[in-house]
Amino acid sequence: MQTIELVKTTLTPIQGIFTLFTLGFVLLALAYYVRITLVKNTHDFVIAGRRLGFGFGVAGIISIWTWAMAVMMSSAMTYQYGISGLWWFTVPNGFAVIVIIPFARRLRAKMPHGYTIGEFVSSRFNGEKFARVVMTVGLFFGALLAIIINLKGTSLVISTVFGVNQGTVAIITAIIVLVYTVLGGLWASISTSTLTTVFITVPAAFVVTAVLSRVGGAEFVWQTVSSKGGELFSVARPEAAIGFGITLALGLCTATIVGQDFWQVVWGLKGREVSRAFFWAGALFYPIPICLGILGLVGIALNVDLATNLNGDAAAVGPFVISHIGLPTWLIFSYVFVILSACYSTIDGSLSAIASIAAIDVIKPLAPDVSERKLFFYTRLSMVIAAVIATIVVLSGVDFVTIVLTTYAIRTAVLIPFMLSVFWGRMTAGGFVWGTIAAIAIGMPIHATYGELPGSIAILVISAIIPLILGFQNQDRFDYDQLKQAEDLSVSSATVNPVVQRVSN
Amino acid sequence: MKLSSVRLFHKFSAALKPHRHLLLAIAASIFAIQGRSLAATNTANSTKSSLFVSTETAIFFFIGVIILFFYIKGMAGVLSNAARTYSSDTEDSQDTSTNGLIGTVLALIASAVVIWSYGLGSYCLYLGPILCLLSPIGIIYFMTLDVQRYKEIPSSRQL
Repeated sequence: MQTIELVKTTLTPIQGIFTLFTLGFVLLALAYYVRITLVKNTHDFVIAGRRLGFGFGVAGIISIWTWAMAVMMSSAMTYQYGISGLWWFTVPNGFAVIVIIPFARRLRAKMPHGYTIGEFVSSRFNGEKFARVVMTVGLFFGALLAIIINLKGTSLVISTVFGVNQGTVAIITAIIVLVYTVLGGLWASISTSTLTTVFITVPAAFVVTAVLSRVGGAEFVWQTVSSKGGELFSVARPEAAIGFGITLALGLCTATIVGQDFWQVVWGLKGREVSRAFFWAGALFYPIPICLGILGLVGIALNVDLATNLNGDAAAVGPFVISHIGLPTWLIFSYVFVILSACYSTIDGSLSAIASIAAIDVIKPLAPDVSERKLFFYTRLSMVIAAVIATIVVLSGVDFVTIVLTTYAIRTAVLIPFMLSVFWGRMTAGGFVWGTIAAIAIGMPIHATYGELPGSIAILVISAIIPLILGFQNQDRFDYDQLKQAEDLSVSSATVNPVVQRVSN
Repeated sequence: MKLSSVRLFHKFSAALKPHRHLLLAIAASIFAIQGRSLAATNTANSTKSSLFVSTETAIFFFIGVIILFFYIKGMAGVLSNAARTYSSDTEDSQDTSTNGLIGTVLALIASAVVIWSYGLGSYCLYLGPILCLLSPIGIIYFMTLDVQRYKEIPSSRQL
């Protein structure tokens, strides 16, 4: 049997910082071009003028959905459970993107000038404030959590590979992404995410191929893993489903269906592209974790130890394998580029989501007559505030479990009420509000006592039963055509892009 | 107007033709490096980092560079046309796509089957990298469709 001595390739902190800035400058240049040619007002900034096409839509969604942690988790789950782990991580992931389609089609058709699902909830329930507040809080925390998790994950990887201080990585990353996202909003986010999709897929392919060759070929990996037990190549291991698969599948669907970073794309796309953009994004997302999961098999084959080599964190198996088998330095850089691309694209998508939430669900309701310039300013300010908060959370080392649990609770509790609101005319505001409150109040103690799966089931059941009971008592049916009354943000002459204004004159 | 696969291939070949000298130079240099590295990697058993990679990796890298080139070209086409038609592109037609349930089921089955195939044999482990490498081709095609549609819209300055 071939043996490989695992020795860390020495890379310097300056190389890590160089990598951070290199990708940052490329994306900044692209964002600047987009800013001066395509972003003229808050409507363009927040929702890309509803001009996103098929190609950019597909690529942008893929990149927004490919978190830095997901790049590592595909390897981690494979390392822990074999291909059962890869199966349970991957299949629900792509499905979660596709499952939004019926809701997206419905709302895009009924509310073509929408921006956020908080706005939808308000319109659906005749301005019911509490329902909108609950939804907005859930959307905000969801976007904030995505920024925190990606900053944290990337800081860990870069510090592990290059020896850069984690805080330094977090600050540099947050600043870089903030600068180019503040510059161009959703257009910049989707454009840079489109570019990062190819930066994720192509390097992932040749890096994984190089890893297989380096450790002795696919035959060595396959035979070694097989020799450790047939269950590692079985997709039917129940412990993978129970250990993480089912709850992950639920969490993923919740993240997309009740996630503003996806809904901003729903309303940002050209009307005819919505269904097929999300379908192909889900379908073309699959190869990414399917490819990167192989690093988990390599970790098994090389007898990488969870405790001594990975400090108890299976998510580190991918970076560990890449940096300890003597790959050429440029291939290690390529893998880091994959992770950074995933990180930057998810963070910019979340910052854009926060911008739309701020503009539509906070500023406009509080100050309906706010001028275009002020709205634009405060929208960008909200992104800065969110980035600062996320960076502080990561730097402080504070355990952000509370944020995770809050986001999880709200999102899971509003999932069924939201779905019912989209399709069921008898759904009431009271059903939405009380279903959500009761689900959290009863479900979260069950979650704390009995674990994630029982807690999730309890939240879902309660959040379904109460709206159904109240809805069946409601004789009135909502006229969904009323949603067409939602208007675009003003596209007044108060342009915010004087460069484009002078050119067009 | 949909492109057939044959026409797409001819279009791809025609696009590559002006760059054939550059592509040959890249390919030759990569394979020249591999000629030296094969002996080194076949006997090496240490984890000391080196510059060289296997032939498979070089092939993947070479194909990846080509894909990257056309991908960025596609992006440039979409962005420049989007800017050109900024004021004149007011279309907002309904979503009439019918991918639906069948497409979803097929996508789920395909992904599940590929993962399951990892257990069939060592050669199946290359399916993941191959699919990952080729997936941007789909996006390139989608961007081509977008550019075609943009060309049907008059420029903002013509209005």
